[in-house]
Amino acid sequence: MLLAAYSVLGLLMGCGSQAPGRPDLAEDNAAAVAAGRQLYADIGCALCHGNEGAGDGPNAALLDPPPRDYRDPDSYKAGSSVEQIAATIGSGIESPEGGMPVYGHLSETELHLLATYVVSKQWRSAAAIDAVGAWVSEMPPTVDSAVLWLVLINRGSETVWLVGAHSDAAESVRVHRAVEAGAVVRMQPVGRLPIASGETVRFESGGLHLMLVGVRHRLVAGDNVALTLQFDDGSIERIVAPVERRE
Amino acid sequence: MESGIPRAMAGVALVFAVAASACGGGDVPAAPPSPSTPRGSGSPGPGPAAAPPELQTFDFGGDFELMDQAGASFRLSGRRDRTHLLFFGYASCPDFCPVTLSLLTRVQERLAGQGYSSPAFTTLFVSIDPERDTPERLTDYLGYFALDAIGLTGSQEQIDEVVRQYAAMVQPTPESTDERPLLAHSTYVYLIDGAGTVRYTFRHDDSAEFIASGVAQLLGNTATSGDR
Repeated sequence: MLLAAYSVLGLLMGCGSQAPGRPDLAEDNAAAVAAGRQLYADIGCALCHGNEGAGDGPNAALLDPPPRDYRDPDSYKAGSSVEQIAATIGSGIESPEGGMPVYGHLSETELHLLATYVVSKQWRSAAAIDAVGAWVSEMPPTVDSAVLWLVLINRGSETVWLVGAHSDAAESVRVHRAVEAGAVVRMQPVGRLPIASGETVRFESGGLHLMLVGVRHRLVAGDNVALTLQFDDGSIERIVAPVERRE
Repeated sequence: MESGIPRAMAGVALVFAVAASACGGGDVPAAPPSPSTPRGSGSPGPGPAAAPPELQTFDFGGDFELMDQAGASFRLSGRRDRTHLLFFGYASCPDFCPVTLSLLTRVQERLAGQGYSSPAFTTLFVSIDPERDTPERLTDYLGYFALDAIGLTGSQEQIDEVVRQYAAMVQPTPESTDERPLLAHSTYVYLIDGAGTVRYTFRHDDSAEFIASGVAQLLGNTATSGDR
């Protein structure tokens, strides 16, 4: 099970299965993350957790509840720090419907490397981006998608790209831009949206909007929708948007 | 509150409405507004008040027969001397149609304030998704809006024919699925006079007062013939 890269790292650090390796790991986080990624692949974590940790691996659909998106620091039941995650992997999570198996055969160093990798995938709050004025249009009863409007302001010194969005309220969230071609207005998917330093990007009628596709329960005025915006630098911005009836 | 982006724009539009109503009808109309730019939609900042639309007579359009949301037959020619705004859309439409139907609701409110209402003036919503849009579904969709609209559906062939007559367009987008249709479609709002002739094509981003002023021109004429 031990893989070449990890073995090399282990040899370099001269670590056994106990803590002595940790100070070195802390100094070389990148190497620990790389070794953890290799372990993640070897052990087959991705089968359930998915390649990126979104909880969307091929076996995820068989599990009830499905694995959480561990990139979200709030998704952890037993803590999101390296130590807490290492402990969780080692002891498993019990659940009547499946839960997470116990990986007690892994050494402490291996657990630590895995947890370091998992933490490296966690979203950090987007310090540069301000999201203001978010609201969701109340849905007519025959529609199963909802539109979210907001304004994003980049207060940082570098361009940040909006690369995705997620909400538990919907199957998926897409960035759309209304593009006019002749008499037809088409909603064009936007894969990556740049927000330049100092730029204010408005999501408003006739332009950009966030489409909540496959809304699970019809959203009506008075509801609130929690949404996570994901940026290319690995940061996130959490917003809560009230649902309002369009006037 | 920060959440009122569209409403802030509506506020601007209201300012324009006041300015426009002060103009009266005697002004020499400016050059016909370009169809590619919004008219009277009140871009922020000072500017000339929007002139009412200069009505024209178009060759496209014409009579058609479809089914209304009560399941009854509807013929445009059966509603002579009445003025209509016609819009193509579909009941699963999450983005464009609700925005436009809200706009048309404001048009209706504005006209009601001038004493014009159904049946002298009615909005027609023609479904471009007749397979899913049963009369019941159209009732549910249109019932959500405070709009006296007649929802129209029919066979795919009938709808295709009306779309062709009105030089409209419907295209499924790449994201469209059977379960969740996403159709790109024409967003013009057609002003149709009491003889069934298209007199103007409004854009989706024209202002409510601009559209209402166009409808009022026709209603002002029919009102003198007693159909009010």
